[in-house]
Amino acid sequence: VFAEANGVQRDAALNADLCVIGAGAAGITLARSFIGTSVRVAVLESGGLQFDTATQDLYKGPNVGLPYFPLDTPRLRMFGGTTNHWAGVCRPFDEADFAKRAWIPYSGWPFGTSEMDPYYARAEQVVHLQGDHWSTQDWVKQDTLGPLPLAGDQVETRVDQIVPEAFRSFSTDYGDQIKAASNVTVYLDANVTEIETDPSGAAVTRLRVATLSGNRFTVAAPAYVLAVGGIENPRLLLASRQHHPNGIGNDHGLVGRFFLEHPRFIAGMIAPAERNLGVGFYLQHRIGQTIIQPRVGITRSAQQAEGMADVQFTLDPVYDPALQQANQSTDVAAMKALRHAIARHGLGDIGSELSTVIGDLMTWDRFVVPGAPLPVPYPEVVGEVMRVTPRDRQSLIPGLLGDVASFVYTRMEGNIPVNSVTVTARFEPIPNPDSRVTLSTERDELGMPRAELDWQLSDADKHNVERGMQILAGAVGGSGVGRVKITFDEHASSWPADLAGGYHLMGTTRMHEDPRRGVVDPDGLVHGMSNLYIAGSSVFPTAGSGNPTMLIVALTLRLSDHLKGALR
Amino acid sequence: VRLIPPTDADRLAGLFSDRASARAVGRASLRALGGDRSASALVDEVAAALPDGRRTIAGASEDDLRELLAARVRDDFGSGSILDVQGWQLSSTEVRLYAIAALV
Repeated sequence: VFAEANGVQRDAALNADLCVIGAGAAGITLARSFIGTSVRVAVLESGGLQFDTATQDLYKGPNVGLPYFPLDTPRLRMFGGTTNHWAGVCRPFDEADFAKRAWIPYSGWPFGTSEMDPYYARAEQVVHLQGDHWSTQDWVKQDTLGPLPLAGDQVETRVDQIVPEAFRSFSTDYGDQIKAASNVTVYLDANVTEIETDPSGAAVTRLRVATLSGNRFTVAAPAYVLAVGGIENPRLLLASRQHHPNGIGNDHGLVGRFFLEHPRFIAGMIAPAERNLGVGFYLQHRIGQTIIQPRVGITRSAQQAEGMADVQFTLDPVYDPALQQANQSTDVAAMKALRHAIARHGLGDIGSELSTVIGDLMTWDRFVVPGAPLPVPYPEVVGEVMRVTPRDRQSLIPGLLGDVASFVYTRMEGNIPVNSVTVTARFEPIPNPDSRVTLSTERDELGMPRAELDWQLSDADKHNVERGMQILAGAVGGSGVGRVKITFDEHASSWPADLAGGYHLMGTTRMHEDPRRGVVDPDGLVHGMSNLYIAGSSVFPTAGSGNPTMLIVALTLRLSDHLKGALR
Repeated sequence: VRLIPPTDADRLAGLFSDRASARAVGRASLRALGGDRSASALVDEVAAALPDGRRTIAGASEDDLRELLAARVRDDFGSGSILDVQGWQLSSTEVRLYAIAALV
């Protein structure tokens, strides 16, 4: 059931059997796993069922490190949490993601795929994945498009699955189920401002809750789960100093450190040897009922041989300017423009000339991968156009027409000529204790110190990207696909201006068996505490190669199994 | 009229269907290679990696020569013999071929 925190009697002392802080992917997954049990679950959610600016403002805080998104933008403070703007990208971590890699400091999870695979299988159901397998070869067999025949054994094709847009929001997916659950109460507009402990500091005794309207009350339970994300989890621990001068779980100064993202930027381009190079496989597209997003990655054996962390690449074709223009058009001029999409521009410097001559040296392997690079509009896009209000529909139609025009063009003219292919590198950063969340001197509307983010990357990260690009260049050049230009200089004093994260906030309460090296133990229990657990990507010791949401759900299912035993 | 047979450098440069483009890449390649490079010296460097060296360049059919050079380019990428030309990651063999095209 849902309850409005402003309707709770002021200074009331509420009780539950399990108290969950936060109703995002982790919090909702945890609460759902207890539906129908005898465990009374209280979920404290800062937001409501709808987005609210004043609530979202509580997320604001200064960035003092590398340029990063304003802290109120990569996450959502409302029921359903950040799943409300989730892109739906899923791929499980593999064995190497979990493994301790001697060449990567601070790497290694307490367990591996044998522990997580059963939970991943359940997590796939939770996030509504249509496909149930992760073998690249299986997808390639089913696809009418195909991967580029890149040379050597240092690169591989990886396939992400994309959760259909209609199923991404946990609020939409599970709101009704939660509402109908008699043993689960979600308190909306309920902000936890402090975690209180007994005088020994080893057990949480209650949570202080405040609303923006001024109500105050407390909630107590035998067990607590902190599930408010990679910035708020450390923020709340650090701000809870009643019996912990440095914050709860912070005896070894680790809370907030090791902030991880999945950094990415455009690191280069490919000049194709053939104008009608088929790169449609690497665009998000549909196979049967499943939407996939293939990428190119550095193989694990190459990573080990090179002593590097994971690097993967997204390949985006750049079409002729006339086509690009047509894609943004809304009328018949689009079709006319497409017919003239023959000019070759955009590579710059010697790229155009290079693209002309490299074909002369590739007689051993002239190839064209057939297929239309641009997808037919997805049914859900068409459906979305039909569903929304007429006013919103206007903003969707240009994109739809562009897709239609491109599709018709490919049917009429064959492959769309590709000028170049943009290579966006995304990499696994080396865990870095200096990359951290701390408390700002600024305070929010509730009087809590705001979070301050000091995002840091290292020279080793720069080297990994550079080396990854060089490996990609060898694979592209050796196969005859084309040539790679690296537009990134690892020796430059700064990172590229387009450096950004993926809205993946990880690592700030990392998991490790040793309290001197981790904030939580392998069960998610805060070291030194008897009844405070943490769920979510803040426990990730490494960022891995896959996107975090499915692992967040899988780890939460694992935690719920543990709690069911502990609360018995 | 006395016909002057094409030089080895001419044969290599002649493999490119678009000489203007090859010269443009070649000028950048020469800067990347550094120093004063003569066409003859560059041909020697290319020939050193071919069976029978200059004799192959002079005597092989165009198709065979192209295949041999393509294999060298492929091997370069496989073995990491790659040069950076204005950021472009090119095989060390092809860089020399482009440079030759710029010099003849």
